Amino acid sequence: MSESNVGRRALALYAESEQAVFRRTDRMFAALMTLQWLAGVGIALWISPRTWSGAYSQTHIHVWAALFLGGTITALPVFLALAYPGGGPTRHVIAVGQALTSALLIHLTGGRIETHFHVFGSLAFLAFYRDWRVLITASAVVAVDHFLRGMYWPQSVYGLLAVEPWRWLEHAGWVVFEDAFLIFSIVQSRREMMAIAERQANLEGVNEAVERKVLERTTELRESERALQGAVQKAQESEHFKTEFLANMSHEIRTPMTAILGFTDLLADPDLAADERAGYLDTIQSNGQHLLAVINDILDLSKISAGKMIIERIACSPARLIADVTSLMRARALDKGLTFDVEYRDAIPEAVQTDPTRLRQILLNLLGNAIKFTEAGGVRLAVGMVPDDGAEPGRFFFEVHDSGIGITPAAREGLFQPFTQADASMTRRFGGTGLGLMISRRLVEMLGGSIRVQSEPGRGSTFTVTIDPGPLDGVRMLGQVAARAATVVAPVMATASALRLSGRILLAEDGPDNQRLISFHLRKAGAEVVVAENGRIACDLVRDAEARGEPFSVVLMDMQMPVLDGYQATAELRSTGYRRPIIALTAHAMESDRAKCLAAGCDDFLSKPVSRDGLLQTVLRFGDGADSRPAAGAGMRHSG
Amino acid sequence: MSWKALLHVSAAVLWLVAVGVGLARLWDYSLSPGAPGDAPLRWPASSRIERVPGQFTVVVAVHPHCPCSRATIGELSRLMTWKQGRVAALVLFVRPAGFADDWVETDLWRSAAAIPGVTPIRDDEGVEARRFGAVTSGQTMVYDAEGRLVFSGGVTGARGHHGDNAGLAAALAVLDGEETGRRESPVFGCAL
Repeated sequence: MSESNVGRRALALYAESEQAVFRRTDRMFAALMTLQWLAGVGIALWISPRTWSGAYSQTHIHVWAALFLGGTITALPVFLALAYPGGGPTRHVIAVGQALTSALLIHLTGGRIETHFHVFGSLAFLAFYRDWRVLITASAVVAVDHFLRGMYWPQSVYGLLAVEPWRWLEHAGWVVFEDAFLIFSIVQSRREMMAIAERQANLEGVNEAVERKVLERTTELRESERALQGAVQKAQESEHFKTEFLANMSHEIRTPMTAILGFTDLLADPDLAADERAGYLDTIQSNGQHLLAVINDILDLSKISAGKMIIERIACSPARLIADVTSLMRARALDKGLTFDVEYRDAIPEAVQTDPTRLRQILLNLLGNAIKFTEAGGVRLAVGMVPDDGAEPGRFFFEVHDSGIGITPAAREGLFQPFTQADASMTRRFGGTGLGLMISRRLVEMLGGSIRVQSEPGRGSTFTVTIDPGPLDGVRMLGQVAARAATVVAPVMATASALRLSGRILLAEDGPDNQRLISFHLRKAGAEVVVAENGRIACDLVRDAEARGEPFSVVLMDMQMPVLDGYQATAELRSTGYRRPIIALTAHAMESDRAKCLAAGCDDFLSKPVSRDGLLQTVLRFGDGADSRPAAGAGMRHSG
Repeated sequence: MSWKALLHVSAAVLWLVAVGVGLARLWDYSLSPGAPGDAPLRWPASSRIERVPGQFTVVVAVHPHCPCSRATIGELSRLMTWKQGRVAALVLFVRPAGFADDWVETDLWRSAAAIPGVTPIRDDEGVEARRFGAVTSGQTMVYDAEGRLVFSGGVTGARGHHGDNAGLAAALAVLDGEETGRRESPVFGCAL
C-alpha cells in the first residue's frame, strides 16, 4: 500500500470510527432520553402528583407537562436516533432536546439551582459524540433559555426577583467553561482516533504486503515445486534415456569393434586365401566407417548440446548439392533393390545462402534413414520452393518419401528428442545411434527452417524440411530441366590409387602406428618421407633441410606430441620465417580445433582417422607450392 | 431544497413550536395566582389560636397536599431564619371534612415543624383559615404586636417556585419596620 493509499485508508478508518461513535452515542441518547422522560414523569408524580381544591384534587399540570411536553421534547430526538443514527441533524436535535429537557426540569423543580446540574451532565453526555459542534448547539439553547427567562422571569432560573441584564451571560459562561474542557478533551480524543486510524491503516498496509508476499512466495513455492517435480521427472526420463543411449552407444561401438578386431585376428592367418583376405579387409573398413559415423554423431551432439555448433552461410548451388547427395544414396538404394527418384516440383534458385555441409548432412541422414527403413518400394526426394506469401518469407523445401515401415503416432512424439529413439528395438534391428534425427532437427533450426514428419505405419513416411534460402533478389530460378542439367556431377576427382606424389615430406607424429600408416600411404604414392617423433625434432629437421637446400615440400604436423607439441612447433617455425605448407593432424574434430590450428600457422587441417584419399589429395593440393608462401623446391605430380 | 429536507425542517420547526407552546403554557400556569384572600385587619377575636403577644405573628394557611406550597414553606423557612426570635409563625394545615386527622401530616407538616419558631396547627375543616379569610394555600398574614394586619398575600413569586419575590420582600420589609401600612401580594397555591 503506497503512502497516499495509507493516508486515504487512515481517513476512511477515521471516518468509520467517527461514524461508529456517532451511532453508538445516538443509541445511548435514545435510551437515555427515554429514561430521562420516564424519570421526569416519575418525579412529577412523586413531587406534584395532584393539585387540590379543598377536599378535591386532580392530576397536577406538572404531571401532564412531564408526560406530554417531556414526551414531545423526547420524541423527535429518539425517533431520529433510531431512524437516522449517525446523521448530523440527529446529533444536533438530540443536543437541542437535551437542553430543552434541562429547561423543563428546571421549571418543574421550581427553578432549583441543583437542577441546573442537569445542564452540565447533559453537556458531558453530549461530549460522548466527540463532536464539539453539538456542545455549541446545546450551549446556545441553554444560553437563549437563560437569556429569555432572565429577561421575563429571572426567578424561574436564578431564584432572584431581579437580576442584572448580564446574569444570563454568567450562567452561559459556566457552561462555556465546561464546554472548553469538553472541547479540549474532544479534540484530544479525535487526535487519538486519527492516530489509531493511522496505525490501523499502517498495520493493514503491512498485513496486506505480508499477505501479498506470502501469496507470492506460496505461488513461487508451488511453481518451484511443480518445476522441481517436472525437473525430477525430466531428470529421471533423461537418466533413463541416457542409460538407454549409453547402452545403444555401447552396442554401436562394440559391434563394429568386434568385427574389426575379429577380422583382424583372422587376417593374421598366413594360410588365408587372397579373396578371403580382401573380404575381411572390406568388412574391417566398413565397420571402421560405421564406427567413425557413430563417433561423428556423438561429436555433433556434443557440439549442439554445448551450443558450439557453428553454422556458416555461403552461396551454394542446391542443384549441385542434391546431385552430390543423390549420387551417394542412389547406389545404396539400388543395392537394396529400391527405386530412387528425384522430383523437382518448382523452379529452384540457382544459389542459396546456407551451410552446404550441414544441409548435406541433413539430407544424407533423412535419405539414409529412408533407405534403411524401407524394405520394398522406393525412396523419393522432392525439392521445391514455398513462395513468399507476404506473411511468411519464401522457403526452400525438401521432402523425403519412403514406402517403409512407417512410424506410429506415439513414436513420432519422441522422434526428435535427444537420447530417444522411436523404439529401442529399432536400433537392434536396423542399427544407428538414434541421434541422426535429433541432430538433423537442430541443424534445420539453425538453418532457419523446420522439419516435420507425416507417417502411416506400414505405408511409409514423409519428412519435410524447409530452410531459409537467404536473399534471393537477382538469383536466377532454374526449371526442372535446368536444375537436372546443373546436377551433372563434375568429374570425379582422381581416386587415391591414381594419385602420385614426389618430393620430401616431413611427418611429425609421435604415434608409431600412425607413423607407419601415414608413411606407408605417402611413400606408396611416391613421396620421400622423413619422420620426426616430436615437435622439437621436427623443427630441427626443417631447419637442417632448409640449410642443406633440400627443403620439405610439406610438413604434416601432429598437434599433440611430447617435448614440443604441434602448435608450438608450427608457431616456432612460422616465427623464424618458414613459409612452406604445414598441414595439421589432430584427433580433435571440433571446428574450434581447426581454428586453433590455423591460428598457430597451419595451412590446413586433417582430422584423424585420416583417410588415404583425404591425405593424398590434401598433400597434393599443397605439395606443389601452391600456397601463398614461396614454393618449395620439390614438386609433386598428379597422375591418373 | 428537496421535499425530504423540507419535511425534516418542517418537522423540526413544528417540534420547536410544540415545545415552545408547552413551555409557555406551563409558564402561564406557574404565574397564575390563586384567588386573593380577605384577611381581617385585626387578629380575629373568634380565632381559637392565640397570637404571641409582644411580637409579630405570621399566620400561613396551607393545604397539606398542595405541591406549590412547598415553596411557601421554603420561603417561610428563610423568613424565620432571618428574623429568628423576633417573629412567631403559625401554619394552619387545613383538613377538609371527611379526612383522617393524620391526613395533614405530610412532608409539608414535617418541614414546617422543623423550622424554629414555627408551629404547625391542624385546622379541621378549615375553620381557622376561614376566620383569617384565606382561600388559597400559601396565603400569609403578618400581624404586628398589637394584632394589626400589616401584610397579606403570598411569599412566592410563582407556583412552587423558590427564590426572591415581591411578597417575601414586602413581608420582610414590614417585619423590619421599613414599611408602614398594609401590604399585599398575589398568592400562588391550591385552593383551600
